[in-house]
Amino acid sequence: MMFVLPLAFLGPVLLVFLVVGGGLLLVVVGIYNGLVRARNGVENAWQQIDVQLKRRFDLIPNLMETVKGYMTHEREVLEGVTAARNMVQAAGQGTGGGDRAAQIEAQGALTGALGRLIAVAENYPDLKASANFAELQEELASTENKVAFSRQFYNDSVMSYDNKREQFPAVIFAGMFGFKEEPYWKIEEASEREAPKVSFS
Amino acid sequence: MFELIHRNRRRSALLVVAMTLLLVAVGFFAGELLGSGGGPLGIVFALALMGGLFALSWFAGDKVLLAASKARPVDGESAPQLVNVVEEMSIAAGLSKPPAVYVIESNVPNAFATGRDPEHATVAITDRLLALLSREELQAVIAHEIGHIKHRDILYMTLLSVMAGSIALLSDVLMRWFWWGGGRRRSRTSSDSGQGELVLLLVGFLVVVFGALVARLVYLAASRTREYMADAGAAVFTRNPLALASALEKLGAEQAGASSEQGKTARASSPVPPSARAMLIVSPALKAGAGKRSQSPGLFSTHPPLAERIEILRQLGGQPNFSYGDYAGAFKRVSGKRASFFPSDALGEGAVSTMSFNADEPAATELRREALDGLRRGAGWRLWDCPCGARIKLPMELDRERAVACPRCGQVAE
Repeated sequence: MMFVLPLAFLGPVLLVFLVVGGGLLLVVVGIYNGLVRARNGVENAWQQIDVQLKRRFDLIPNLMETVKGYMTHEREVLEGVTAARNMVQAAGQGTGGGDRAAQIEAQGALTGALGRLIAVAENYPDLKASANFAELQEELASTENKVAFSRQFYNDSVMSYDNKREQFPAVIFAGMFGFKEEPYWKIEEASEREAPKVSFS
Repeated sequence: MFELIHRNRRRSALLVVAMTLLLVAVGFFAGELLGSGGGPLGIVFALALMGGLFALSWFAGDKVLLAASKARPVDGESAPQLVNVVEEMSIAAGLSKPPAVYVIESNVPNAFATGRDPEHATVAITDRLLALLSREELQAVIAHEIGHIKHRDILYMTLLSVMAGSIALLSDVLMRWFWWGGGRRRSRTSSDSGQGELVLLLVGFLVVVFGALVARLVYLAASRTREYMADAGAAVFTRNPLALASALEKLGAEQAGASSEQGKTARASSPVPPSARAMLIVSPALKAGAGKRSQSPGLFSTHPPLAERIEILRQLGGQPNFSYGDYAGAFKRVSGKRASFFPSDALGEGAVSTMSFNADEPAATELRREALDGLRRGAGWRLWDCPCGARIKLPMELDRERAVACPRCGQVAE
C-alpha cells in the first residue's frame, strides 16, 4: 500500500515524461544517423578520388610505351611525365598512405605534365594518324575527367554534409558528437592553374 | 542533390499510394458493376493484376525493353568513348556502379535509361545520336540519363506506368463487356434494387471510365516533371548546362527533320515500343518547328516542350554558379509557372560553379590546332569542315580532282 499511492500519483507525469523524452531521443537518433550517413558519404567520395588517381598512375607506363617511338624530339616532356609520376610514387601513391599535402602537390604536377604531353602530341602527324593515338587521347581525356569528376563529387558530398551539419537543429548536436567540418578540395585549382605556365621549348 | 533524392522518395511514395487507392476504387466498382457484391473480388483481381505486371517489369522489364528495341550491349572495347563517358558521369553522380551500356541501331537520335535501381540499371543510346554529338554533348545526354537513375525515376516511372496500365486494362475490359451486352442482364436485376444502389452504380461507372483517364494524366504529368529534374541533375553533374542545351537542340532539329521529311509517324521515329516513349530523352512525337517556343505543354505529352528545356539550360549557362534553386528560378522565368515539383529543401542546397565551356576560351590544344591549321592552309592544304563536325585536312600533294569521303559520316566532299 505504501508504494502504490506515490506510483499512482506519479503515473501520468512519468508517462508524459517518457513519451516526450522518447520522442526527443528518436529525433536525436535520426539526426545522428543522418550525420553519420553524410560523413560516410564524404569518406567514400574521398576514397573514390584515390581510386581514380591510382588508375591514372597505372595507366602512365602504357601511355609512355605508345608515344615513345613517335615523340623522339620531346625528351623533356616525356621525362617530365615520368618525373611527375615518380614524385607521386614518392608521395605515397601505390604504396598507400603518405603525406596528403605532398600527394596533392605531386598529383597536380602530374596533371600538368600529362596536359603538356597531349599538347605536343598534336605536332606529330605520324602519331596522330596512328589508330593508337585516337584511342590514347580518349583514354587520357577520360582519365583526367574521372579524376576531376571524383573531386567534384567529393566536394558535393562535403557540401551536403556541411549543410546538414550546420542546419538547425543538427547544429546543436554536431559539435557534441564530434562531427567536424570537412575541407573542400580547393588546392586542385591553384596547382593546375600554374601547371601550363611551364615553358614548352 | 542528396536532399532532392530523399524528398523525392517521400513524394513518390505518396503518389504511388494515391494511385493504389485509385486502382482499388476502380477494382471495387468494376467488381460491383459486374455483379452485386463483387467489389472485394474486383479489388483482389485489380491488385493481383498490378502485382503481376509489376513483378514482370521488376524482373524482366529492362530486358524486354532492350530486346524490343534491338539494343546490343557494348563495352570498353567496342565503344570506348561511350563507356568512358558513362563511367565519368557515374562518378560525378556518385553511383555505386556504372550502369550497363547498350547501343541501338536506329537512324533516329534518342536515348533512355531503364532498370530498377542504381545496381540494376542500363542506359541505351541510338547510334545516330552517338554520331551526332560532340564528346561534351554526349556527356550531357548521358548525365541526363544518369540523373533518371540517380533520382530513382526508372523504378518510379515503371511503377506508375504499371498502375496506369492496370487501371486502363480493367476499365477497357469492363467497357467492352458492357458494349457486348453484359450489362443488360445486370440492369434488369437492379431495377428492383434501391435507389442507393443505383447511385452506387452511377458513381462506379464514372470512376471506372474516368479513373483510367486520371491515371494516365497523373503518369504523364509525373513524366514531364521528371524530365526537368533530370535536366537539372545533368547540369549539376557536368557543371555544363550549355552542353545539354546544345545536345537537345541537335536532337530536336534532327528529329523534327526526320519526321517531316519522310512523313514518318511517331511510331516509326521511335526506337522503342510506344508504351516506353516517356523514357526517352526527347519525345519521338516532335513535329517540325518544335524547336520554336510556341506550344504549351499538352496534358497528353510525355515530355515538356523542348524549347523550354533548352531555354532554362541556357539561362543557367549564363551564370558563373548555379544551384537547384537557380534551376527552379530559371524554370519560373521561362515557363511562367512555379517549379512546385522541386522539393523545397533541395533548393537550399549550395551553389556549384559552372565550367568555362567552349565559346570564349578555347583550350590550349584548340589554339594550337587552329595555329597549325593556319600554317597548313598557307602551305596549300585543303581544309574541309564536314557538316557532321569533323574537319578533314587534305595534304597539298593530294590530287585536287579526287573525291574524298568523310571518314566519320561518309559524306563526300565537293
